[in-house]
Amino acid sequence: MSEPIIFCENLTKTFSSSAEVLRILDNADFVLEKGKACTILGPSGSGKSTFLAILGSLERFDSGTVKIAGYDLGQAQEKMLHIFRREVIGFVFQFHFLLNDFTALENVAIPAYMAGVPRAESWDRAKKLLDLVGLNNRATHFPSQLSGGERQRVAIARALINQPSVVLADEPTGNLDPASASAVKELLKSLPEIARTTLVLVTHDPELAGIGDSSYLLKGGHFECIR
Amino acid sequence: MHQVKNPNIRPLTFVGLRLLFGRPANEQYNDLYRARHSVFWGAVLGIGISLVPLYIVLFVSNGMIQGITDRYLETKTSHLQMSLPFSFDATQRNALTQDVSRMPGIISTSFEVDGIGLAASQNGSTSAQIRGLDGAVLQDKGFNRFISVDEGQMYPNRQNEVVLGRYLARKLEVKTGDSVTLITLRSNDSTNYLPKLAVFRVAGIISSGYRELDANWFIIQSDAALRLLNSATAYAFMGIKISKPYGSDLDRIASEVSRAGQKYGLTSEQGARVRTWREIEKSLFQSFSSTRSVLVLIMVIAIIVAALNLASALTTFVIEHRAEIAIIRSFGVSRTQAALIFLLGGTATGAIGCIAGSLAGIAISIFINQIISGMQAILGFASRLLSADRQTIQLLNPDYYLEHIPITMDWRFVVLILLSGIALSAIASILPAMKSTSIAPAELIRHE
Repeated sequence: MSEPIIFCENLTKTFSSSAEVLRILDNADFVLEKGKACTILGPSGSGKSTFLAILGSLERFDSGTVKIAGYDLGQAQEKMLHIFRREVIGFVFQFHFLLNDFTALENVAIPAYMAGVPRAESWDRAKKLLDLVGLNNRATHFPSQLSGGERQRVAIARALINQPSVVLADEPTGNLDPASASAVKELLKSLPEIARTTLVLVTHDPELAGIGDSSYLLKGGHFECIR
Repeated sequence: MHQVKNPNIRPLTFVGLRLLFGRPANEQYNDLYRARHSVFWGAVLGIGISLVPLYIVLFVSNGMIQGITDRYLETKTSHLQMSLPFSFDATQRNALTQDVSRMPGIISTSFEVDGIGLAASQNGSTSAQIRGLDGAVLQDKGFNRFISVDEGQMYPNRQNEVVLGRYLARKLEVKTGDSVTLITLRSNDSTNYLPKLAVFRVAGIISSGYRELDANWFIIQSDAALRLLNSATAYAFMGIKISKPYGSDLDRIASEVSRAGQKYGLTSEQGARVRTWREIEKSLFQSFSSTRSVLVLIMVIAIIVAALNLASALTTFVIEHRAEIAIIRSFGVSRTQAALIFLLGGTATGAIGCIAGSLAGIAISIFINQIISGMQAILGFASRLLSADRQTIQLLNPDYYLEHIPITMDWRFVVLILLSGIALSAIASILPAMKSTSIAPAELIRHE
């Protein structure tokens, strides 16, 4: 077994309300090797998105260990987490979350440009990524001028701009109609190979569930390897 | 692992300005989109507009004060005044004049006797400010530069001639060639005053361009003034002009002139004192400066209000666009960088307003005379359309303002105003910028 890029041990996350304490992750273990792709399945409310948010350092956890690409997220201070997000993680959300005032090309380029990559190089990288997702002809269009599927493909290109070690995708076709979802699915299937990255994909879609090297079912706060 | 270079402010400014102002090419440019971004154009406009009156007040008031000061110095006060006793005879006076004229830095001297009297014509009477000048004023470049002759000549050629200020001539309803009677008081023991009447022919009507200064001028020859007035009712002095009246040499030259006077037995105990124009017109210029300071203060308050408007627009933007900020933070943008986006965006917004306001303010200041003339013409035309009364409309009453406003452009003020405006915008952006740091990327999960 090669070096794990994601290592979670005894991971616990609870949500408290006045009525009850909800244990979303209960001493869960999860390991993924570098360059591999896996899918995470589970019923609604099982904690799939919360787990992804923890991996992306968007959400803090209660106890356990989470180490990703050398970063110990349990120990890392806030000022380190933005560096982690910038250098290690690429996010694809269920909703595209593109910035409406920027063109498709700018939306893709901005994370690199803001990370300190020179403008020309950022824009060059963004053009190549738009080409990769088949949207070179839509570079100057604003999100409002793109279809749902095109927006999500732009979001995938944006997730790849800083050459992340890990791409986290949270039901990226969940908000798309079947026609739009099709192109996104094809792109996601080829993503680990073309982007040479590790992919963690949360999905309900049976077609997407089969991609990658392994699949896990999150149920009762634990991961169960199903493939 | 991808290594990034140190982030700089250019991308932050790029993102900040685009977020705030949007992009017109965006097809989303509907009413809602326009309203969202027009707030910032409003902020730019607010800051720009608030700067315009500040420039106008500063440049126009500086120009006014400079223009009025120049007129006072060149046509009335002189740069230095050495008071002379009436007992000081013409021979001594000429010798002293020659001594003083030879001093370095002094460009001209003239003798003057000032007093008050009552001027009367067939059409009325009014108080008059008697100025007994010697013929040296005709060679005085400063006097010639500011005095315009409405009728006749600038200086009375004979002892029975008078040159009147424009408004005194108007009040007496006289023109050149008419006669005017001057009634003065003479007293030898300062308790008993005897009236003295003298008739003068009007030889000219002049104006200094500032009514407050020349409204009652009754200019006669100095010898005629000496005959009509005495030390109890008048003041005699030597007016001295130097090459740099606004320079630091003024006091030194005054001391040297004073020493020259001492050779002729002129001491301050005798009432022969040398005073600079700054002492003589102190209260007048303090009044000008106070008025200008109050106006500038009011304008500065307007700029602060504009900056608060920018702060309000930015704060509203941050509150309404938490999702966009969370998206940007999810890229790995730190709290500091997120704050800088709004700090730089707000500062750049203020800078755009400051530059636009400065250009407009400077342009309006430069063309203020033409603008006032144009407005007067338009208002005059409108007034003639609306009423049969054909009176001329004057926005700036020439009783209190110069007929032509000289604009003094001081680029140090421009730099100071620009930098202050930008700094104020930056300060106004701090609070909304700090507010943006409270938005965590985790908010994206809640927006899904």
